[in-house]
Amino acid sequence: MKSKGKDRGKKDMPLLVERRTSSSVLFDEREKLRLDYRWISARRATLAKQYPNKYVAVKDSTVILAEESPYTLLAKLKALGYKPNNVAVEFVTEQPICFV
Amino acid sequence: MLPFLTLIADIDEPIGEKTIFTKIPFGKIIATIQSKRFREPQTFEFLIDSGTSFTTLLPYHVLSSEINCDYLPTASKPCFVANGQPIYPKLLYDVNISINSYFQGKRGEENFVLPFIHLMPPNTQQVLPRTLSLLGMDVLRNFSSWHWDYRTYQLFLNK
Repeated sequence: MKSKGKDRGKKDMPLLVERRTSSSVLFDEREKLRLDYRWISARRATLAKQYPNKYVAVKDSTVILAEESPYTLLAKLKALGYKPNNVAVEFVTEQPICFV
Repeated sequence: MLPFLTLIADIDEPIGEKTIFTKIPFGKIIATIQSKRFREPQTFEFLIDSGTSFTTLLPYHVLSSEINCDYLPTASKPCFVANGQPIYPKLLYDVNISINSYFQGKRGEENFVLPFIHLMPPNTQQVLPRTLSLLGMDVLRNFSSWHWDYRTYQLFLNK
């Protein structure tokens, strides 16, 4: 709808809608994501050799994407129809990583 | 059977040459964040970080959750990262954090209602080396007893 009067040209605030999801669905989502992260942890050295210095996306214990840029990875995940936060993503490298 | 209400984190450790920075194992846990700013609940991997006062979403998760940080207020006090650099995080108010819990053999969900959490927006000039966020003492203070089990590689946080 076109805005009128004093609101003309004003930038619209994004629509914020909280969709309720049942706690058992969320429990299973978290458990699946945890298993995928464990899968990555158990194979980190192998993945680092196979996909050096790349962001690796894993779903159901399978590598679905590997990209050098997190921006490209997120765009491709969305294009493939995945929810990015339901996919385990980790940067794999043979270099030691510091948190600092 | 676990006698307490327990959260179970996975113990992980970095690969590569062991240095003073990388030899320390750490705990990771999956949590779901619900906020009015998210269209639906967002699930993230968190580092169990007793050195962080407030739970913080780091740049990769800010990117992946597609939250527009331009609409969020900036904290008035800076956070100091480990190298001493001050960073002013964004504030996300009225947040509910859900984590899988276990009590007397039954699975459940523990919810933490927080007045706010911190967000670190991504800097496009920098590489994002890690993709996990920080679960801070605002949540962890509820768990008085921690048990690191290196047989199963799990960290038990007991209430």
